[in-house]
Amino acid sequence: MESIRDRVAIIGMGTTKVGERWEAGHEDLLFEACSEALADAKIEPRDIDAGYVGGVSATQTLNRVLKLDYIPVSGMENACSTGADVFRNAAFAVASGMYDIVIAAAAGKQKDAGTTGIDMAGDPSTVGMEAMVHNGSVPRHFGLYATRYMHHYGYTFEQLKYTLARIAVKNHHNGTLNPKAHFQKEITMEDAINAPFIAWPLGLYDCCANIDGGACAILARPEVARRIRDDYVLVKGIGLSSGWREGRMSQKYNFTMFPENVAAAEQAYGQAGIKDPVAELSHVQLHDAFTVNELVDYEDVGIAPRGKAPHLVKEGYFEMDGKIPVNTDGGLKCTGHPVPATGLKQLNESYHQVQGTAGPRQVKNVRYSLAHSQGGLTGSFSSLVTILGPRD
Amino acid sequence: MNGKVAIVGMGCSVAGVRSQCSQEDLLVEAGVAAIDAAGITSADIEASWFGCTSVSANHALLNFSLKLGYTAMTKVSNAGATGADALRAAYVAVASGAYDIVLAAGVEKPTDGGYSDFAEGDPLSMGSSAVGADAVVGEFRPPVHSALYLTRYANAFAVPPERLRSALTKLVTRSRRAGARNPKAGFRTPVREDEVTSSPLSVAPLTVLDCSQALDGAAAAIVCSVATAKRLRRRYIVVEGLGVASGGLEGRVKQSYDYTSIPETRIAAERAYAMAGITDPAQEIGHAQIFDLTTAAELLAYEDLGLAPRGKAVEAVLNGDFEPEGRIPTNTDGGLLSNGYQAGAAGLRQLYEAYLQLTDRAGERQIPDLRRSVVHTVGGAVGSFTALVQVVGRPQ
Repeated sequence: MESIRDRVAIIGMGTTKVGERWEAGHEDLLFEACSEALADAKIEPRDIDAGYVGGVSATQTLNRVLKLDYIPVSGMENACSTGADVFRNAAFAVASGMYDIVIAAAAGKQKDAGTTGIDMAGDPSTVGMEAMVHNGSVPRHFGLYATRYMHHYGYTFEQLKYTLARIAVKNHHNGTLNPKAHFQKEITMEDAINAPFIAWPLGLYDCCANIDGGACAILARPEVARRIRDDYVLVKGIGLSSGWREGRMSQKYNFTMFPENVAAAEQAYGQAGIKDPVAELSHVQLHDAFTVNELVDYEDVGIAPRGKAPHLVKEGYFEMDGKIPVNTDGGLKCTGHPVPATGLKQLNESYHQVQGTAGPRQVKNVRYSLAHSQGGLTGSFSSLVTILGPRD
Repeated sequence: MNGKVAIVGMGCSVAGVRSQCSQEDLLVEAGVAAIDAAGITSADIEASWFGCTSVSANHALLNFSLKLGYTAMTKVSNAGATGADALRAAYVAVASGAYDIVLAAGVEKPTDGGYSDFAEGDPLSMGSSAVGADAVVGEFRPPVHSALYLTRYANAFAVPPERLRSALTKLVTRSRRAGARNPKAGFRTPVREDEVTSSPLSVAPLTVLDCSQALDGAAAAIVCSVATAKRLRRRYIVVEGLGVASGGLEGRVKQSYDYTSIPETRIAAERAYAMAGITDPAQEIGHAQIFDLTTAAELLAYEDLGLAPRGKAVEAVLNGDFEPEGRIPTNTDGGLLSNGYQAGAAGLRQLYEAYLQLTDRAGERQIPDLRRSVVHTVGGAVGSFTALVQVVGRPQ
């Protein structure tokens, strides 16, 4: 095995304005995201050798949108990690030497579904405990983790709500600095704590919005990237771990951590040569589909000790001026969650932070940035951890 | 990538109306056979690519069925080429050096949908945003697409209807004879020429027996580097070439598109042959697995793959070139005509026959002294096909 480290460069990225994009179709969003990435990389569509696109039945849309007759295009799906996994497969394609320049893109039109969350029809083939855990709304899954976390580490309901509210307030603040975020307004601690419940103990501000948007990355080998721009960003490590229903089938599963996150982070750190994430990471993007998701993720990726994340949240450790700023773009909470594209959107913020082009959100002296995505449900999460760093 | 990536074990389920089995059962049937053939355990698999068009990654179908623990799994979706594209993603990952041993697997249970063809509007529907010629062509059923090409082809090359019919009939009878010799085929009964010509018309000039049917099935392949394959000491095959091309809708929006050739297949084949160092495919390839969604699709593919000269496919078929004892035995497992169509597993199932042939395990279907096979898979519809062409061979 050979680490992916320093063998793949990002030469351009783009995202759409995220929001209720009734005026734009799926193809329009793909075009918007890809156009920005192509402009960023200063290349033309004809320079692209292969494409990876997120979402079911999306394969043929990329060539159609970019007028790329006959380049190879693959479609990939990995629930809410789709965008990050499309990026991963594109990175392998570059590292394999088969292609010089590869595009990874995805767009989601979640609002068209007519639901504000994900419609969970349930899977009729599941039985017993598996059916009970699996067939529920997404907020309910994460409510289970919040409840168990509180119990397991002895936090009171008030302490938990305070912690989660601090995360929501932080992400809303960061969102005000991001012109592409769906929500660009501050909220107060009271707003968050007193919001209506969605799935106890999670309230309205603990849940992100499923929304429309697209994102795109253009990858190349470093020797190709060098000819294109000076400030390309390097992939340092990529880890992916997918569940095998343990969380749905095993009594031992403890609901205070996501084993998929831990395994993915371990792989990515191993490749990047990172031994002490707290000391070595400058910036982190976590998959905050729910505030409790971000809370548990701190511990899973090793930037907070087990059970201690609420203390760090209280100290402001993950805020813009804290030790490790997390979700500087506003996270899923404020930029929204266009499902297939979200992983690429997370990477987009990491890319700009490493490149030093994050504008008012720029964290000082960024070296390594971690972008995390988590798709699926209890027992079948697909977690991706990607670490980006500067060239040379 | 040429010569660096190996397939060290494959498994394949029996095709058919597998109402008594779940998708998990079919994955176990194919996956365990592949793992055993490779001489590994499921704990040795570091990552997987999973072809299936009917479930989300959410269901953890593959990791659960084969007890893959918390390893990486990506679901691949590329219409009818889904299984082949899962294989390609696995090849690419191994070639990149990211993993040593990975799995490509696919499953589909289309008969659960109650259709013998694709479910209406899915997965080929181009959606409500298609307009004009795009919508008209895009919304057709797959046999209609095939028939459009066939009609145009016969006209362009002045093939008389009877001669065209004879060639198509010969393909059906040959494939169904092969299926009868394949214990894993879905249809194991040979058909007579008169049964083909007298079966009901599907889309003129294609009869029902010219078209493949959606059947349930799964297939799996263990992919690794050639160095690892040598270490495992099992019979393996080597990926010599891999070409992919996806259409950008040209066939639906350009008047100049001529419907006598599928550009995606032609371009994918050029890429695969270039990688494999093949300059004369008709001479250098000894066996072909062609995506015969219909006999018309197979007929055109002979030319697009360079196995028959342009305009001469009918002649080559009638000459017996693609019969078991011919120049390039084709679809020796019975093809899709005998094995049915499973989007998630399609390309994998086709490769399975090449794997058996090249590891001398094809039994009574064995082609003597075979060195190299070409495997061709197509997904999508006119103008937006994705074609994958794999060239696989014996280790040097």
